Amino acid sequence: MTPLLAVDRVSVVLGGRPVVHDASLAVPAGCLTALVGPNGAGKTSLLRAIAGTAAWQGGIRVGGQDLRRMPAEVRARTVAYLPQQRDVAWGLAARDVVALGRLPHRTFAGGESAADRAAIGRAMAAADVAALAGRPVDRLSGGERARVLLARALAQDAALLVVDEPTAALDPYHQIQVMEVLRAEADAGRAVVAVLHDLALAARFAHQVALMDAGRMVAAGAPASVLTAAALARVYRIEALAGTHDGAGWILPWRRC
Amino acid sequence: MLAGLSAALLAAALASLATGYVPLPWPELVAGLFGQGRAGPLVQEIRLPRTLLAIGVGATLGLSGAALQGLLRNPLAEPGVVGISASAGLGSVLALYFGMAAAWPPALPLSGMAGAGLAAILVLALAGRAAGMLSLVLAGVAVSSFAVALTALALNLAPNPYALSEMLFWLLGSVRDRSRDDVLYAAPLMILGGAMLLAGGRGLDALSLGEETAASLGVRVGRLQARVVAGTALAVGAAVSVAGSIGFVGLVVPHLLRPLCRHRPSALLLPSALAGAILVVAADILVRLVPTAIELHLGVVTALVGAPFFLALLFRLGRG
Amino acid sequence: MRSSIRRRLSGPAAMGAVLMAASPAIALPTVVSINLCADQLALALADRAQILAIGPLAADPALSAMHGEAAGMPTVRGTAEEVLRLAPDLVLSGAHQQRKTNALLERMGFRVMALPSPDDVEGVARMTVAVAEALGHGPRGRRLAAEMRAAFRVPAGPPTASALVWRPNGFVSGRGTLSDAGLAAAGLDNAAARAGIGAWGTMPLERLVARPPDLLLLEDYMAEKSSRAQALLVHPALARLSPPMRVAAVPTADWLCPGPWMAGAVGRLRDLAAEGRG
Repeated sequence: MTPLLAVDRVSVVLGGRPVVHDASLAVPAGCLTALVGPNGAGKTSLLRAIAGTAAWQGGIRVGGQDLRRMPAEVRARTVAYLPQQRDVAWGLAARDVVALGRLPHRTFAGGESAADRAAIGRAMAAADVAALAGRPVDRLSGGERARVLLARALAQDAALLVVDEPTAALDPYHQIQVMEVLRAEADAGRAVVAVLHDLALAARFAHQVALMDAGRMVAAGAPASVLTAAALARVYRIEALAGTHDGAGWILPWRRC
Repeated sequence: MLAGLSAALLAAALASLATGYVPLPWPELVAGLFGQGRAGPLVQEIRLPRTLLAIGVGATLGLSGAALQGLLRNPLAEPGVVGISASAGLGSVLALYFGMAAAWPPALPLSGMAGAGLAAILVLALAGRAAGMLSLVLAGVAVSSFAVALTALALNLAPNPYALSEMLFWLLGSVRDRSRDDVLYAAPLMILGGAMLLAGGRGLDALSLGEETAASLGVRVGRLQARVVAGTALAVGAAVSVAGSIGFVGLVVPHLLRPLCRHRPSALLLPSALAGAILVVAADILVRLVPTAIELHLGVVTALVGAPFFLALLFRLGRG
Repeated sequence: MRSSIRRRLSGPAAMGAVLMAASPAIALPTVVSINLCADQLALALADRAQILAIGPLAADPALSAMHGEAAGMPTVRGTAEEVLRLAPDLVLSGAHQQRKTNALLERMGFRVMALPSPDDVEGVARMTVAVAEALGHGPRGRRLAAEMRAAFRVPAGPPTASALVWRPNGFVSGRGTLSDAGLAAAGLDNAAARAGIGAWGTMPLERLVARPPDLLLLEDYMAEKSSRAQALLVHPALARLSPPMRVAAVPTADWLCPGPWMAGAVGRLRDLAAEGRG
């Protein structure tokens, strides 16, 4: 069976500098993949290429289709992207922001369809923001806003969801909440790729971890097989404590080495 | 809200038709509208073109202000910011300066539109296709300063005091004594430009989440920028070239309406056009009623209202 | 379209003309003027009864040479609508600021004379005659034009003194302007023309201090109202010249608009030149 997302020897050049080099990755439907690596490893650039918002060389196929040949509207219905940037201009209400996720599904002149309303409701319930519907996003807390924007991406109803540091600047409660949402989306059949800095969250929630270093894909596979002591020492230059609890692995960065 | 604004615009337009230097009872005014009776020429040739142009110019300024604010995600944006007003003004002043406007009347509107179009192309070239918003604003500032400098040069080199005063008064803005020809030159371009702006509504909504998100939602950001800037150039170029420069309408109107439109850029476009038209028609009624020796210029009235508003807005944004 | 409008407009007027046919003096064309310079020409050339309205500035003594004649005249702001209401046979206007109004009025079938701003005496004389003829007063116009030509005749002999006409911000009238012709006719040497300044230019203060004229003529609309204006207009550097320069005021109204009244303005310049000699 072909994976939903197939990244084949992809390179990204940014301002004349190669930031991703020959990276390959396969993500099947139903899989939450954590994309990890030190700062500057090329994670965000690879994510942008997958979302179609950065130029790339190599092959990216989503659902068996060449991403490069997809018209922008088709791509927008296939790949949902939540960038790191969380600024929202104007004082849009939370529900109006989530509704923007339906833009690729709207016809030229039509208003919100019943399917749109259902998807918006589902996404808001999944991200636990239904109670915030009428609130202006610029008055929400950081955690609330992050979940509203996540709901926007969920409302897009795309087979592939790519999110860039969805837990950044969130407190532990909300970090776990967001990871649970992503895991649930994957369990419901989507492919999810999330750039994560928190190795503990990656080890705890991801089906697959992809480790990047200096623009290259170093390893990809089950968390325990990728986040080994040797790999952490080589790539991150750290020592970490690790173990299992309730049948899931955990990892705790401890000291530099 | 659209129904309310439309009704208010209709009322303002009727009031404008009924305002003037010749008292006209309503029956005569209505008959005159259809070219009947003694007042036919007065209503059809003088008041109707004046009112139509005030509507067109106001709608253009309100709409392009709302669209540019959506595009630049900046509540201070308006046609002036991207340099289009100043360049259209420059085009008009040059037509007056070289006497083209005297020799061939269409030269004035055409050269105003050429100035606006050139500015738009320059702004797009400077800011590039996948431009960031900041570079677009900076390009606008550069183009606008250049146009203002060249306008000042033309004023400085004015061949005589009469030409100087003609150019200066032109820059103050007015729809006084415009003819049906002026409406015929300007209206198609204002309508075309306006349609281009209205069609960009959904893209502008997506842009409020940032360029990257908008692109991931299927919006072709470069194309959207080009459409908004070109639409603004067409409509504002046409407006400035028949009415001179009238500032602040594009700033004040969208700002006041935004909360009523749930802050959605697409929902703001049409109401801004209607309210802009109401504002300029009302200002044009005011200049005819205020008993000054010479009629006040429209740009003066809108600036007197708009500039303090602009300052207050800056203070509020600075504190927030 | 245009002719039909004109027909409708001229209907009552034409009827009036038929009724009044017994007294030919009344059949002179009526006129509305919507420009300050045109106002003054209308006042100088037309019968009072011909003038239906003039602009609001013509009665201002600081700006208008014909302010006395303008007193009590009905005024208009100069919009097409007012003209349409008054339905004159002739509209006198300016070529610059009233461009849009002129076009609109012509479109509606009015006869509009957009007056140029001639910069020589011959041009002013021709304009005077043309407007006079349009008003039905050809002989009057030719007489005034002849008087003006005579007033501008340059006296024999060399100039008696040098003079400079100084306006706010250092604007001066150089060679080939009406002021230049007026100075020559008064037996004065135009220092601006001597300094190589063309029609309309500015004289740097430094050059004025370095080579001061015998007579500095301050032309400002304030000069007539307040003697202090002279002090305000002149830089301290000019006040410390020795020997001090003679300073006199020239009414702006004399030279703001070209027209037959400039004959009187030349006379006033002659008086100033004579005072210097006495």
